[in-house]
Amino acid sequence: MPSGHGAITLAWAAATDVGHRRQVNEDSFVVEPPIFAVADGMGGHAAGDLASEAVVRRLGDVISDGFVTPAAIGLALAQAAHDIAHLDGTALVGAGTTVTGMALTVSGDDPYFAVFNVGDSRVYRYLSGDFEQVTVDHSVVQELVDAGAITRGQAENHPDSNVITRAIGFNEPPMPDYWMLPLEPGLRLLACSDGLSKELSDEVIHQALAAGRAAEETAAELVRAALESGGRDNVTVVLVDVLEVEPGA
Amino acid sequence: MTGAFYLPEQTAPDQEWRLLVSERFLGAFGPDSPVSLMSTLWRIAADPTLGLDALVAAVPTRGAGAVHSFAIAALGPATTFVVRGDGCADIAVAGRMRRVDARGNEPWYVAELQAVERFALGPLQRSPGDLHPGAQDIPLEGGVVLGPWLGWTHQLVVTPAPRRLTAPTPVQSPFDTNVLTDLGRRAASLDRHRVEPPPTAPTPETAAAAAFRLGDRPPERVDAPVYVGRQPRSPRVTGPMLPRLVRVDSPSREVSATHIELRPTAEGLVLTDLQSTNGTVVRQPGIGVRRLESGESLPVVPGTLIDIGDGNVIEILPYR
Repeated sequence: MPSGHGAITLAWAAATDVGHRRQVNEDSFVVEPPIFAVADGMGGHAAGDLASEAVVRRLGDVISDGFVTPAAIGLALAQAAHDIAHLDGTALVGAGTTVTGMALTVSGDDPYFAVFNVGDSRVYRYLSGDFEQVTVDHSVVQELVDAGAITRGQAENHPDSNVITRAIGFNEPPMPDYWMLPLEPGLRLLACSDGLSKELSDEVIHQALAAGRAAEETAAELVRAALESGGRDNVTVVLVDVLEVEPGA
Repeated sequence: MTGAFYLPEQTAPDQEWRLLVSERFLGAFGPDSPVSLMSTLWRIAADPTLGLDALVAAVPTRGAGAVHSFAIAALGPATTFVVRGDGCADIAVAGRMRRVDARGNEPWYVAELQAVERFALGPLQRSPGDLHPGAQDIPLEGGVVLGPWLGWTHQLVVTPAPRRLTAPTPVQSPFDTNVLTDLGRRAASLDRHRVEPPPTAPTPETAAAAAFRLGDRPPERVDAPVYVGRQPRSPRVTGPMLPRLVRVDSPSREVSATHIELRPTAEGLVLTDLQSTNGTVVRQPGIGVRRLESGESLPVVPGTLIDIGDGNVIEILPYR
């Protein structure tokens, strides 16, 4: 516990569904302080579910009582990439996964969430009316948007919408992006696979987070909405609420 | 008995690696690793509450003072190797020899191996031999020493030979052929390392190193981007160098949530006002006072005072 703070109270929930079209749920998740994460094994690739399992297992290994360093996350992801490279029977086709989530960490004496991302799963942030997508997709479409070649609107139905530019696995060293977000009471972070973000618009996700329902209920509601909207992919959500951040004595 | 050993041989200073041995960790760090870093690493390695991640995180891999090469081994039921740059681990495992090197992966490459019998940590440009301790090698129980490489064996049966302080045995050419039968790919990797040595980053001794002090808090070295504000957050960052976030009190909310950035560059520190509401006032030695417009950047030197409001003044200091 950082000296500047008495106690941090969190609530969290996770929900997942295979969806209406897929036979296998290739998503995996871990929700245990200080790590909350979603991994989406590559659809169509061999052993995508093993790859996403490998990354959440490695993240699970760094779970401790208090906080983790972002370097520990980087190391866990590198180890997962190594595991995935050695999955049986995948040497020729390759296997890979996205991963995104948040980990409790400390800078100075203050607690932060280190949000991390590789691929096109997402973390959204909601705090007192403000809603934003924290992570930036590692996807061809996002690169086209960044380059000004297409608009956000055109991005939604782009034929390359499922092509990602970074992953854990496929014999690449992982290149995670990080964001540091201060812990504030009322902060609500949502990590999800693209089975949610491709089915529901930002407005719908925003409404669900703003509705003021408990984490568990909100997570279940989001998955239900994604299934009603088509459920074309596996859908997984992990939700964390910061209830209290008590200043220490 | 840690199982560690090395050859206490005199070599050129630019070939002397820093060898660290603790109960759980062995490490060989390239000749550019400063002594101050080694003492930090030793403290981490000796602290049973800290793990491999803490040890690896303590080695700067970017910016001023970056360590370009190392090889670390964490002992356990499985042995985890973390290698970077020209650092590599030659490993005897299950009766076979293999080499783990970074192959250009940034910031490092990790491998975990079961049933490791022996290994050596050190530079790529070294023939691993059979990794058995030789007659001239001496065991290491713990600490930090200088040497060309660090060995480890599951069962150490070396008889310590008297230390030879004069007439060291001739050193093999550093570019001696790698005896591993394994793969042209590794040769290519070696070639890459030889042809394109990593660019030399400024050392902590150069003018680029700087620190800051906020009010009466202790000074802190700037070796990663620093974000200062009332409730600071960082923008997107790729790579292992995570930013330092510094929260200040601002009862009247003059200070913006994330007000300024201090970024270390090869040329020195760069201050940027991050579109703050109330701006930033900078007093530069010999130049005077000026106000940074919202979003403006400015190189800053030691002696500069940065006022972000509500009595929060940041002083730029030379490092040590």
